[in-house]
Amino acid sequence: MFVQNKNRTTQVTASGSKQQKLHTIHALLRGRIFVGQFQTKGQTYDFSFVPAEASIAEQKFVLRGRFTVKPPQLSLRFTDQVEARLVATQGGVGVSPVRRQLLTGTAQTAQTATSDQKLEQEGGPETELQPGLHAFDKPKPDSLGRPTIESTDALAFVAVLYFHLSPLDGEALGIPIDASKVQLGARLAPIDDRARDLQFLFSDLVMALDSEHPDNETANDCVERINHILQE
Amino acid sequence: MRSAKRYDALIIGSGASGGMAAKELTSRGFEVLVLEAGPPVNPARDFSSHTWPYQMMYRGFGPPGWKQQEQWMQDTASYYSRHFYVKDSEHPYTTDPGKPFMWVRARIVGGKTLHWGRLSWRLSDLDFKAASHDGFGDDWPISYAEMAPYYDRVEEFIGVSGNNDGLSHVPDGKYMPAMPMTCGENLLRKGAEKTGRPAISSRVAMLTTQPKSFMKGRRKCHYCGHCGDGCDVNAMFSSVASTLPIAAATGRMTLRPNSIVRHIITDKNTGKASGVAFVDRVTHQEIEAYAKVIIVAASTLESTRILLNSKSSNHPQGLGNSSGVLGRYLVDHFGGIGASGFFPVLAGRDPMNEDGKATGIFIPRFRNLDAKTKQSKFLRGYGFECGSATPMFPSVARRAISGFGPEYKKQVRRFYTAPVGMTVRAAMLSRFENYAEIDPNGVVDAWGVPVLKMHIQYSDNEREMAKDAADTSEEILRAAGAEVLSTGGQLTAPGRIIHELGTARMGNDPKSSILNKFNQMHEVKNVFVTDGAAFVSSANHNPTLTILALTVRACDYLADEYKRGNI
Repeated sequence: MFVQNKNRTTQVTASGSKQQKLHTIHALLRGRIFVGQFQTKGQTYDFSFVPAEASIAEQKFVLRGRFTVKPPQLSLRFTDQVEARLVATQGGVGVSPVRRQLLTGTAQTAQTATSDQKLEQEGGPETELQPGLHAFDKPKPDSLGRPTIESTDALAFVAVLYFHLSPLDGEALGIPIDASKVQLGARLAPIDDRARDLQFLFSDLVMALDSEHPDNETANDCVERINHILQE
Repeated sequence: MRSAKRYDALIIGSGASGGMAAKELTSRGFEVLVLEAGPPVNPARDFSSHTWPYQMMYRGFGPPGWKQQEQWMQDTASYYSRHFYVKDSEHPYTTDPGKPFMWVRARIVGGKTLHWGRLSWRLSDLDFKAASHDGFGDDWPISYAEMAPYYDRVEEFIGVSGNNDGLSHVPDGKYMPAMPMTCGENLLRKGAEKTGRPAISSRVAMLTTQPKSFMKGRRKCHYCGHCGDGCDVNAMFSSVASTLPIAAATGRMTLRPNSIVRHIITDKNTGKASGVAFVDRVTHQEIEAYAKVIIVAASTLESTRILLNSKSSNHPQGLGNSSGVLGRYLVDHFGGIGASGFFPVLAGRDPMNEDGKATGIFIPRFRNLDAKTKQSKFLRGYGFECGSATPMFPSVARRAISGFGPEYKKQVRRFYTAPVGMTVRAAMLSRFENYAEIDPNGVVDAWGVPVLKMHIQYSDNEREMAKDAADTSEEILRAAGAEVLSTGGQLTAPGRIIHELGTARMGNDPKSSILNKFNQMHEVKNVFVTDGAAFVSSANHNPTLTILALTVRACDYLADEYKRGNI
């Protein structure tokens, strides 16, 4: 088994002394709040972003709200009116979330999974450790009788939203590095109904806004409904 | 600040290709620096192949909801092997709405060789010369005859078990004895043969006899069956078991883990590469290292990401990308289609210790081999990975048996000795419009390195192939005497099979390819890309054996050219 020879040091040198930057932070959507942690200089910082308002500006989805940080050994610090501008997304792969048909007009008639079905599918056809134990869904043919593709078309959903945050004042927030250009990666893995509703709305919004044929009416409808949830 | 040393070669990545390049080049006297983006691996701490479920929290399933918190966790990793994979919260990538891509990455010393599927098939001229065969796309710039000696060398070095089956489109090789088929697999083999399709033992990179003298530290497989959790006896090939120790023993390899390459540095005057800029994963320190030759072996898409991020005045579209082909022709295989059921004749038999056999059988491609098997609705073809074994955990219980109490237990005991299943591994056509680019909206990773955006979709060809595979799998299962419980399925989302290939393909024409036939960049002669990015087309076979053979071949060429002073 390979073990690195500790006596062999790498013959490379530091190329400069740039100030360290906080490039990305990662959150999970819980209720209507994005919560997460980041680490820097060996310390862990809890943070949350509580959006209060959603809008569309220049064809981009924007959330605006309070950004709160809990630095180690310090009290909570926050700043309001932080803007999170959606710049990109990552499509989800795997079990589609259960839709509550929140949007009667725009909801897709997706084939969705109950929690039991989710358990069943988590060990899906490509993931079994043992050969021969795969379970295949009943065929879901397209109009030409061909199998459909996982997590596409009606089963597509958004898994991660990537926002660029407006510049944060690191010093005021107790963050010891440059936080002037931070990217928030928000994973939508809902475990509560409010987060679930938001995921559907975010998914529909992204499909409406960023697809090849943008649908502004649906996008605006989504924003209205998102605001309704954010302001509950 | 400048590096105190200029290495002969700098290798980005320590997985299958990077490890092999390190071994090949150090054995020829090269002083090599290997940069690995992930942490070092400590088998005693990190491998859990012999950990029982009852030793794990939640019996090894992990806490509720843990898989949903990271994309890769959803379907690939088990709780035992989760630390082999990256967290995409630190390593984002982006996609178009409704067109997902699953990018499974292993940043750790050894890369994906720590948990790979081990299936080791040679490509044939049906694959290398596919375009000449059916008119679609481009041929590889190499033939099977050129590759065969390298396949020989690799198979003998890594240790591959299998049979010589005499099928020209699945060329034979240098094998250790194959793992024997189980009863169920023999039944399935006979069923496949009834339908005119041979079924063969899978060829896997696992030692089935005593190791050869150069395989120091490796042991014969003892059939524990948990290869994906890290093989602590090194029966399966991995970089940490095989190539890196040999490279280290020469005294000419320096391995630096936690080194995330930002870009390749080029000399303004010559346009050639002079080194790389990287960031320490832990300290975030910015560092540079220099070398005469750069081997890019960071895995298909990571390699292309590095090249695309290596823009300079000489290479404004990315390193060696004046053709604009870099990032293009992205493919994966698809799976998710097949059939499963059980053999009534095996139900109720005494359980046997079969679950330790870490592979099944394979039904090789049988479509579009010749005029007789030509299909009107799709090009290329697919094979089936199949298996039938008695597992430790009776999955059949939750798949096919309902009820509760004593009667339920009785049914579980009866049927869990008899499951059978087959799932497709199919070719995806290499198309220009499937590609990866640097995210145009400025998304970066945790170290500020620009990330990839994927654009990939299946075509009608894949969907027609899937339909054919669904029908055929059921036909074979029934011919074998199985009771079919489920058929059909969905094509897996691109990326899920973890056979992403292409994006810096080989070719004879610099206008339509990035690399020449020796994995050398057309435009930057001292840069070689030796991983799956070099593939011209995907065939329908697991790619690692071919990646290893291409790497050895590239290193042979590199060393010769280096000696001649041409690099």
